Amino acid sequence: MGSHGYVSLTLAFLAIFTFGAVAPFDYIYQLQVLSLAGLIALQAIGLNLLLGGTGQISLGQVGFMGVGAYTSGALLKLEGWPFLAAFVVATLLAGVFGFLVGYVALRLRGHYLAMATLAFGGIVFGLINEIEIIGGPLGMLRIPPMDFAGLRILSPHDKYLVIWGITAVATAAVISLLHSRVGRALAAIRDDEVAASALGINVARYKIAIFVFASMLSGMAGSLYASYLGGLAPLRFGILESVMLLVVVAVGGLRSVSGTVFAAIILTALPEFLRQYEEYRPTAYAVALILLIILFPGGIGRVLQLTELAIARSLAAVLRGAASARPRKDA
Amino acid sequence: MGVLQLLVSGITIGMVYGLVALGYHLIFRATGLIDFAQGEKVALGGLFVLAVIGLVGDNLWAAIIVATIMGFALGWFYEWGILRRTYGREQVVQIIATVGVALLLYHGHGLFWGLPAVPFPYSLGGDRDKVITLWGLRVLEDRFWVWGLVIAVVALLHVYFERTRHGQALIASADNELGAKLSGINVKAMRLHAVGVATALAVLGGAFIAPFALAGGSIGMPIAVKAFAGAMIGGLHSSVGVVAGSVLVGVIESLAAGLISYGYRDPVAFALLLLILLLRPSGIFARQRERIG
Repeated sequence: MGSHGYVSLTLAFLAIFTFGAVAPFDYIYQLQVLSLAGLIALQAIGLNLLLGGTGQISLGQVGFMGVGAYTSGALLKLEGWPFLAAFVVATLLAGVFGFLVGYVALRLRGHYLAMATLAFGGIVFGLINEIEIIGGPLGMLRIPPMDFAGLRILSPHDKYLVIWGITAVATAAVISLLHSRVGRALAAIRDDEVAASALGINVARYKIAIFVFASMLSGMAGSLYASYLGGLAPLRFGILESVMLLVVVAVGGLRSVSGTVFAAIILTALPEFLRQYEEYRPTAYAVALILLIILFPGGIGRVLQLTELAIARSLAAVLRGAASARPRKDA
Repeated sequence: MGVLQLLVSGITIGMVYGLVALGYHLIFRATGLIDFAQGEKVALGGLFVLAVIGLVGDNLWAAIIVATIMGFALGWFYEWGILRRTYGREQVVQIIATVGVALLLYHGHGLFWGLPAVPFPYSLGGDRDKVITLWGLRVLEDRFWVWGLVIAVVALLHVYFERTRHGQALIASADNELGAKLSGINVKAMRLHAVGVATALAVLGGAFIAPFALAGGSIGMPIAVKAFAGAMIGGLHSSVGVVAGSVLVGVIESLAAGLISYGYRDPVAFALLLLILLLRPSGIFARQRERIG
């Protein structure tokens, strides 16, 4: 995975949390936009792990989000469960679906896998439009808010901090995973499955595990989303939304966790500054996606990495200059 | 609706999926890619026809021919501008690039025509409500036009692949690029033509489907998945199998829509794809040795 832009990522998270802590009350709209960006980031990190970890692709991530959102919404609203329990069950159920799709995915690669996951997303979308008890095409309204052991999360600031808190933990988990033995096993699988299994790596188990993990992140995002908005509309779980996640990962740079988080924030916040061009935005995103993936697949992640390296180099040079007036031979 | 009626409408829609699936087949044979934009090209089909009619007046057949040629040109441009730059790269890059093109075609056509689908008040036979009664079964005349045209196109493609030097050269360049180059085949040009023909087929499919539905809108992605399901059932390597598989998908989704509920049409067709991919990823009609992935 090369070097990673972790300094920028840390700074970004610091900025995000500072904003949540100090934003005045008339910044509610910005908090909302950034909260949704957090949920997109949470899902995109999972997709990034799939792409960058085992080289698997998914065009149906929002399907898992739909499973999580509707499970959590139904348990909270219809069964009166406490939020934490609904959150856990929604996440686990999304994981179960992830296991099933991941099992099919084991036999497939590349284009076939992409098409299979697209079909999965389409099935979830079709069913949530069809099942009456969860509202069908009208969606689900009045879903109770998040609460943690009696502590109800109601203000925009608190919701924002909860969402970004969970996203930050997930990001840290993914990064530490990538730098562990597991991460190295994943890199081996991505580069050459046969060679990896010859080294004693259980390729199937890793591939399924990563698929389940990514789907659980999407399920979590779904559960948070349901209680964040207090309502669900089936339209939000269409195929295009899954494609947008892919845009986020591609713009962020395949295999860069830092880039993914940046891309999630930039792509969600950007339209708010370009209101008058709203009509052209999706088309512009499509063009940007094609150009980036063909010409510069490193994306934002690569830019962060290069910038950090350049800053580190010039800092080192300055420090060296300060330490001794004489130029060193090896400099 | 009776089961026979459902069968007839299922076969019709399946035939159109077959045209789209033939595009997958062609592009796959020539380049080894699955083109995720194939469905959005179908959405363009009806709109191209409407645009041509708007320019030159009410002649549906002339408009379909012009639209098909436009599709061919679009395919050339697509191969030259985008696909060519992804050959030999990671599959993830190829997938994202063609998904990007699908996104571009979807939103791009929305800028011109608006995203809601557009009514298509023309008919292949001249009278869109004309019904032919066969053994007590009432069938829209337009359906027969679609059947005849799709069968004609499949026959033409078959002859092209099996009987012409050009078609053989195309197969050769897909099967063994280096060998084809050494035999003096212009592989680059072959790929250009394959994507051109595939796009033309999708546009033609869009023109055929429009009289029964609407033109444009968000029909692309579901058609892309269902035609792919058809292609997978038939096995991507066989042109007749691809169409047969697509007809099967059309019939199954039509039965699901009629017998369970219209809303289950898409989920059932999609689940069929997952099932096929799980049980027999090389296709039902395919020979055993063919492997995918």
